[in-house]
Amino acid sequence: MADRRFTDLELERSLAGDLSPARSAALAAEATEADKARLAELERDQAEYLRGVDVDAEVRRIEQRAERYKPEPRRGWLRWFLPLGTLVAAAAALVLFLQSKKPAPRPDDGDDFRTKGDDVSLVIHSEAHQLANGDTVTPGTKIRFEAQGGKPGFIAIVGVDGAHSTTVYYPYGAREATAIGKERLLPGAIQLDATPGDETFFALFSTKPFPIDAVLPAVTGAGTLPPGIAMSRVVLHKK
Amino acid sequence: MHGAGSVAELYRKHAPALHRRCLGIVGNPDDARDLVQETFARYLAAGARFADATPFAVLYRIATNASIDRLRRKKTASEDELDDNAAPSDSGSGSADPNHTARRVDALHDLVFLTRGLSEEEVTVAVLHHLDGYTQDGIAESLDLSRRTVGKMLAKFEDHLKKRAARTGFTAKAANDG
Repeated sequence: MADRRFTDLELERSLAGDLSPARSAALAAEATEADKARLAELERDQAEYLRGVDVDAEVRRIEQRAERYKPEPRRGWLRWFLPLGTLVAAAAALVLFLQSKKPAPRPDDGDDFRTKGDDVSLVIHSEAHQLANGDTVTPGTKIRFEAQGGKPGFIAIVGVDGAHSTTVYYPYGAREATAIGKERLLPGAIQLDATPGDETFFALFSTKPFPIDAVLPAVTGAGTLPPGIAMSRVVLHKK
Repeated sequence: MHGAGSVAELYRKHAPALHRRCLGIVGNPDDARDLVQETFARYLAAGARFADATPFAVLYRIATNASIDRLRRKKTASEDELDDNAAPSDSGSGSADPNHTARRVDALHDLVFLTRGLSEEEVTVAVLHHLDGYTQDGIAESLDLSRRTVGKMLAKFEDHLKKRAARTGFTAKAANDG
């Protein structure tokens, strides 16, 4: 990389129109001949790649795959018409749950509430202050997540919005929970969209790795948590 | 949230770079093409509502992690599949040095094994540093992160590496070079 002042990644971001204004200006002013040659090479590669791809067909496949990656939404009022057998099974599961002597979470437990001991507690911060369970926020509010707890392990943050759409916020779009150590304020912020109604955020924690798909039934109300996973949730009302 | 038109636009804008990223890790054009699809699909399915990251940054992170994950699964399925014949193509340094390629393969083997359990951003930073040879300054400028953040992430990776190596008796060849 003789005489290169910009990385491939920066040059690729430049081609995608994604480079920050400051770095774009620096690229325009300070790019070496080697940088310019590499940029031209990447531009040729980009054009060649797109020539070899049927973009419309790719987009169709992507959209099909995206549907598969979306978790099943909650079924709203239809759940009241579930077959009797399912209700009986749910009642049996409830009895087993109560027998485990672990207290069920109640919405009035405070700003946030915990299940399965004190393994995890979700705290949400806006830019200005810490939000409490049940707070009303406006679309566009930027929030960050903090997963309080004393044990190292694995964490995932999942949200269910007012349209019953489920999003894995941390690790973003992932299929597996990610390791968490002592640093409890999770990296990255999200901006709340305009979907009206309550958005419920769940922190899911375990001392062992776990697939996020395994906890989605619990967060959507369609099932229970697998053993060994603790959950904490915070509800925000969007208005 | 995304119409077909905007997805196509997003694809034209970012797919070539993502393909290069995936190819640089998995070394196989067909796998790389499939990973590009997977990357966009996951991006669309998750709903891109991150305020502090551009679509490119999020897509790049997903692509890097999906590629490492693909190799990890292949490695789990069959150790032979992640052999030197499936060596990753160089991601732009232009080096034809066989020693460089060998080091890159070593680094990739190590990263596949050692990054399990790290966050997507940490994996991306570790791959850029230990596989692609980016400096901390280069990573910071490339990903719009502060140098301090990059340093912390790499320190966390080193710590993670030591703990994992101690637990498994694994000796990293290339990752220790960084």
